Amino acid sequence: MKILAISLQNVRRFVDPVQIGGFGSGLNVLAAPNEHGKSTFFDALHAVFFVSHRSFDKVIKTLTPNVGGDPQVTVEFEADGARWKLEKCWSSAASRKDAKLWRDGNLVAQKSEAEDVLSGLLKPPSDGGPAGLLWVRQGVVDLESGGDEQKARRDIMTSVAGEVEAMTGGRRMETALAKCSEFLGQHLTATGKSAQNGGLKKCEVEVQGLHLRRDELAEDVRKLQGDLDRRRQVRRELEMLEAPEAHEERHQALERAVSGLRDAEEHDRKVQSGQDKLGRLEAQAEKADAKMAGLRNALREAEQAEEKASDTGKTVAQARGQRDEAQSLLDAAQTGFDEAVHLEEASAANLRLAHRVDRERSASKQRKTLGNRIETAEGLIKTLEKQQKALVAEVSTAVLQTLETLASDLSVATRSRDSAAASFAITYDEKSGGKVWRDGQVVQDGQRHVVTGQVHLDLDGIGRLEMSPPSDVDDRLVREAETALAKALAAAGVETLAAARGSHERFLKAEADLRVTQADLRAVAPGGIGALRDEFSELPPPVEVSGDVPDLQEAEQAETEARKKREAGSVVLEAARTKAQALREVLTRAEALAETAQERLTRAKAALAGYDNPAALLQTMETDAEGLVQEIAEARAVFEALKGNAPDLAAARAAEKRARSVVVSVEEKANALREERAGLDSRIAVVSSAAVEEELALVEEQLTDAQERLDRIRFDIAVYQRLDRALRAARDSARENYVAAVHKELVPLLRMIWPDAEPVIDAETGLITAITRRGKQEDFGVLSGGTQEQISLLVRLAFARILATDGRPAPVILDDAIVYTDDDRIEQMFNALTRQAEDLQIIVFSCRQRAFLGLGGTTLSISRNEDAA
Amino acid sequence: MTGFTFVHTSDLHLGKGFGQMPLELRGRLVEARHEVLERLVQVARDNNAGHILVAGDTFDTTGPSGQVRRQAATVMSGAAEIQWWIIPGNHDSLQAEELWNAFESEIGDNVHLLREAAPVEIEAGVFLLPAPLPRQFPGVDLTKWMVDAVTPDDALRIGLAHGGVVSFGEETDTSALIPPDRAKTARLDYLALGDWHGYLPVGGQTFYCGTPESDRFKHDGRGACLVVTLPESGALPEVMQVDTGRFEWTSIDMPLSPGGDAPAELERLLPQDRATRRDVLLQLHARGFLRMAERGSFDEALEQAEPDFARLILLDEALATEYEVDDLNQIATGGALRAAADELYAETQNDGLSAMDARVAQTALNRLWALVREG
Repeated sequence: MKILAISLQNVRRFVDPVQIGGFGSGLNVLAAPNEHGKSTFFDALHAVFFVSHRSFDKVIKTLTPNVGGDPQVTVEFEADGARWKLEKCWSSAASRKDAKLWRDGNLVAQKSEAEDVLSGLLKPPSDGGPAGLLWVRQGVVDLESGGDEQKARRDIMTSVAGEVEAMTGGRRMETALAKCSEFLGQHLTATGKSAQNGGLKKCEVEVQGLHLRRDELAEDVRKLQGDLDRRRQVRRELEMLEAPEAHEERHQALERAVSGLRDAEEHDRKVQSGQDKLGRLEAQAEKADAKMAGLRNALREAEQAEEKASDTGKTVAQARGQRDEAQSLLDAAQTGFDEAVHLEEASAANLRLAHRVDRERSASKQRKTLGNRIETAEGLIKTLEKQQKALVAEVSTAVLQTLETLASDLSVATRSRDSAAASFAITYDEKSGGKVWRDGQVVQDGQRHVVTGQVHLDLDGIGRLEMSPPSDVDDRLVREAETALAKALAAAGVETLAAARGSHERFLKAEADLRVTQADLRAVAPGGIGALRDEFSELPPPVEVSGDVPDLQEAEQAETEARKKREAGSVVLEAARTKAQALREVLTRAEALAETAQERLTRAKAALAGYDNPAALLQTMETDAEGLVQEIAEARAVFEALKGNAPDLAAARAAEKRARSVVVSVEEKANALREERAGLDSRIAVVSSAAVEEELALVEEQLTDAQERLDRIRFDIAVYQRLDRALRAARDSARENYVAAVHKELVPLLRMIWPDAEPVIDAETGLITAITRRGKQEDFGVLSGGTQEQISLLVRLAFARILATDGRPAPVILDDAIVYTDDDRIEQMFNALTRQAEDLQIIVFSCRQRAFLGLGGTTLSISRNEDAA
Repeated sequence: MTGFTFVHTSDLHLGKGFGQMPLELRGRLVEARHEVLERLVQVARDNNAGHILVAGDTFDTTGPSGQVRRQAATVMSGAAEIQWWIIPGNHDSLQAEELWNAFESEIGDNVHLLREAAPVEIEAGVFLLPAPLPRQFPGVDLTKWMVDAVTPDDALRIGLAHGGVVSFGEETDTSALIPPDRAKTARLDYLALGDWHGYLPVGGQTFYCGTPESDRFKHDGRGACLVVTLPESGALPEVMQVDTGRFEWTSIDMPLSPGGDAPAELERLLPQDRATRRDVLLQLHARGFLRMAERGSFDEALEQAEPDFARLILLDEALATEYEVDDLNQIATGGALRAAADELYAETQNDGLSAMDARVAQTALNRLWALVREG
């Protein structure tokens, strides 16, 4: 924001319109003597931005001229890239209160809307910084009027604190927080519980107590209502029970029931008597029937037993004849069978003889074959023994391989020795004709000879040549190989290696012959010759057969026929035996039945032995039984009639019992009800006299009131807790965001005045409490007035820089801000102001005209506003 | 006969405790209810009425204290020339045997408790047809018998009953509603009704007299009774309402809007005679919106006025605070205070918050404004 012009009318001494115009971007200075109106412009400027047109508080009242009139202030400024004009008029009359706002020459808002738009333009940073204008005023008036210098200095601090307050809330914040704490402390402990003796606790206790009392009383009333209901019920019941007609009715009912029971019991006795008579007659008839039945049965049994005894006698005779006949047949069958057995035995003996002769013939043939094989095998064994001997005399394959190895070793050793030895060869000159002799033998032309030992050569015509081998030739290995080979040849029985090879070829041939002979022997005697001999010895010895020798086939046929005959005879014999056995059993059973029938007949006769004439007796008894049946029918008719007319005795008894119990129980119940009524009367009287219902109504109303009060207290606690949280969070956030920023901006400004100065800022209050210079810390309070005002001004400038950094450059407005500063120091302050004015608008009102001539910047002046006039 | 004059009252609710009231006021209210008996007697005397008809609910409960009962009996009996005719109502029905038995033992000959629904000749040619409540909820129309009640020709027939002709509330036994034309069907010259605590005529011959001493905000004004004169049988009654109450219970609806002068409006609505305010219980239903400063001024005005009254109750659930940026500027134009105010303001505008949380935030913001202003 940049202020461009301000005009006043009806503001203190300026009844007529006046204005200050031509504000520049950097430093702006209005240096004028006292009573010129600088502070009036300062206050008006503050009011137009920050006091609502609706207000008419003491701030506005101090702006009102003594002669009356509504203060009116107009300010033009730049903000957010536009040119604005704000006009406000404050008045005690609502109709004259006004605010108007123009943007780039166009009226854009009025009254409250204008205030809202303005507030948006002045809106502080979202995290709670100072608003878009910074104000510096100091106690110049007091000093100039000879006032209290100490108070003026406190005002300096207050002035500093004002900006900090704008940031952290300052004293107003602390006051608000203290009020919150004070209220909450009246109700809550530090941990948020209801404090003992606190308003909340008292109210909670009151509500709790009233709840309990209400419940007790409600219970008493409930019981009272229950008692009243019960008493009414008891009374009704008693009235009903004690009614004379009901009493009479109950007793009549009892008498009726007793009479009915008596009649029922008498009738029951008659029924019982009839039933007894009928029972007796029926028992008598039953006894007579039993006796008649016994006699009748005995007669019938005697008759049947006689008949049975006759029948069984006949059956026995018939069975005996059949048994004899079967026995004859059995005897004949036995004879036939015995004959067949004898014939079978004879044919079997003949067959066995035929078999023996046949086996002897077969054994004789086998003995001859085995004898031939044994003889062949014995010949082959002899051949085999010869071949084995011949094989042993020759050089075997293993021996020959040994000899070949030794010969090879000797060849290697010889070549090794010869390579180290000297050699010579003779080339004859055909023309000379002489020869060279060695050990008497002519040395052949061109043949190379190795010298491994002393060699003597005789040269024709020349003499003898003696040669010695080189001293390092070792012949020992050759000799050892030769010795080993010679020993091996001797052991093999040959003289040379060639002889050994010839012997080995014979060895191979003999070995092949041996294998052929062994194969032949295995073919003749697979198990060896011993096995052949054992097999031969196991054959049966020869048998002598004399007489006629039966033909084997004929003997077998005769034996088969004899066996079939014997088997057929056996079947016949078995059938005859079975039949004879069955007929014997038939006879036995018939005899047993006959015996039983005889015994039965004996018993039947014995049963009738006591009667002279049983048949006549039976006839008499039957006649008597018919009379008894008639008597029973009559008795039953009488009984049934009585039974059919009988009253229900059980019902009569139940009715009598019920009628009696009704009378008794009614009396008992009436007595109980009378006692209960007395108790209820007593209880109701006691409770009624205590006026519990009235007290309950009162307590319920008290509870409603107490609960409402408790709700209000809880609501207030919630309000103060919420407010406390919001305030603390905002204060902590502001401190965190701005204390460090102020320190950062302040240090370079301080060091323009005191090169090594370091401010000490209280983290809690955000105020500068001391300054360190030349290593020494000095409390703010002991600094000179000039130093204090310089520091306070620099703090403002630091704030201004913070706002500028935040993208909301704020004009700094100073009203006699450095009144205590001496001429030397004021130059340095001018430098500081000039430094900050590079990107800030700074407006200086001062009465020190001469001193501020050196500040430079745009010079301002107050002039009459002819247009407004 | 030149006319028969009597006093019609009901719903005295003697013994009502007013437990929701502050202790010092409670005693005054209780005492005022007792004193209304004397005032009723005085009204009867002033109007040459020899009878006071009590249409139920003489007592607030079926079990009033012995003190309340005895003192009521004493006052009633003390005016020997005045005949009291009392029927039990739903609050003190005949179920309260102990109450009525004791009361009967304490009253003089001029006080008559009517237990039976049968005609009673209270003066020559004047028959009272009472409908006492046998229990709190009778479940039937107790005035029905009056249709067939036999009285001499040309006799005055006065019905006395307790209950609603319409449903007066949750506790009304709708099965026991009294037909609005009962006076006509029963040939009554006047039907004196109780139960409704305010004055209510139901046709020309049926009246609710209301309580003689108000006890709630439901019916504005002080209590009253009716002085009734029956010129002759079949003629319309002459009914006059006479104030008897000491305390005035008043509900005031106070719509508010920003820009108005709430303190002045409040002062306009309150009784102008400050001396009478001591006996006024006033319930102020404030609704609408106020700006923050206006709410502060309103609260201050209320605080100033409150001690004048027996009770001044503000019901402000329907009164919201309306904020504009300028209001928040009055707390702080910037800094931490402004940040706190902005946070609370945001909560008042947050539809996502519960109504209670929003109300807490609104009150906290108003409280912050007040604290900053005080500080």
